[in-house]
Amino acid sequence: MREYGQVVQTLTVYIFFKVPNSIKPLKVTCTNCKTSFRFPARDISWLNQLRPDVHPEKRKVDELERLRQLYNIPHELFTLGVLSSRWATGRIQKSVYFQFREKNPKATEREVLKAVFKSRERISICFGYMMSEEEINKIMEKISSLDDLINYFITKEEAEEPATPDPLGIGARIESILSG
Amino acid sequence: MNLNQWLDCIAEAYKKNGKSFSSPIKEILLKELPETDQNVDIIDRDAMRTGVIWIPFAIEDESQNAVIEETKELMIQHFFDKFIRSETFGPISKVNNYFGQTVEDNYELEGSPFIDMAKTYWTFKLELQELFPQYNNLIVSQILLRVENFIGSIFFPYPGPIILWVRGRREKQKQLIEQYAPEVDIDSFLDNNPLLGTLDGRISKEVFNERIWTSCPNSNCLHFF
Repeated sequence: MREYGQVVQTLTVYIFFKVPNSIKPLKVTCTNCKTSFRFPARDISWLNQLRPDVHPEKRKVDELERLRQLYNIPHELFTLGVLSSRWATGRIQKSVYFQFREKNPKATEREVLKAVFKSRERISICFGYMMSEEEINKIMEKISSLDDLINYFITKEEAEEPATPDPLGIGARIESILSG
Repeated sequence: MNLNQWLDCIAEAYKKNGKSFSSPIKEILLKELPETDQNVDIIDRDAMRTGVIWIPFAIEDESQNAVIEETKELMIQHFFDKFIRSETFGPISKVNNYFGQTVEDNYELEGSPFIDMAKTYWTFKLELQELFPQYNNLIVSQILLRVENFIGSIFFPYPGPIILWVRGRREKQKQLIEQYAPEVDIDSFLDNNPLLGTLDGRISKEVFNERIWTSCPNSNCLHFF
């Protein structure tokens, strides 16, 4: 099956586009660079558990899978390892930014950034804390770009959740592969 | 199901796992949560009152947290046990009324493990609604709501702006069935599941019409311009 993704935004960040929601693997062609690729890149359990906008490139998937197999890491745990990387935090924020931007084309940059901020902060609700509008506004005063927003969350989350012991350096290796 | 019936149901879940549903445990579950923070948006507050979303809460007492976690886990297991035995949490007629048709007609499917799961789930969900809004701030209601959310978000995702990738959902369903209901024919469940888009029919068609976001893997395209 051949599907053409619709490029939504290019600007200065990643290109995100939509593909059909299917269990079957898709052949997708990027309308920007005309590259055809298989989505998902591989039929691997941990990759299937990752949200599609956080799928690494195929070569990274292969490298990550080699790492996972080397240490025999369960798929579910490995998904969490990828998701807790700085790389994934940044990638998710960028994707959410584009999705808000697409749905609210007339919104100001500040409004979109605030919506992205709220979407991430809302996760904290599960852990018993809900930030007030006033608190959000205070933090937003210091955030004027998507990069500021991403850095805010990376710094905050690292401060709140000290890195779990990584004696074998697996977490660091995941980060390095994803960022490479 | 009223509050007492739900407590009986929880007691049954404890008993089946060889645990005692003691008075101190019951006492913890019947504790009231503090009033919802006034800073919380009025729409969210109303959704919490009616059990659409759960109330965030944090308890410092570790032993109480252990009871909450254990109750949640036992109720998840209890849910799957009922599903395995094709049992429901209440009369199926309530679900039929809710859908305006039978569960089989709604999902355009018959005699599949998925239908058994749907009946168990929807009776759980509809019976749980009986606790809201009256008991919305009791710990027990909030635990049951989390159980319902946990199962519902994976097996019966609600329509909304957030579209989950069906492959990811399938993977999660497989894991949970393997963990909680290994007796179930997993392939039959997954391959005959309209919400995974693995069948013909109205719901599967809707799933396939959904769009999910991904990005171009070409490093030249992917990188900053």
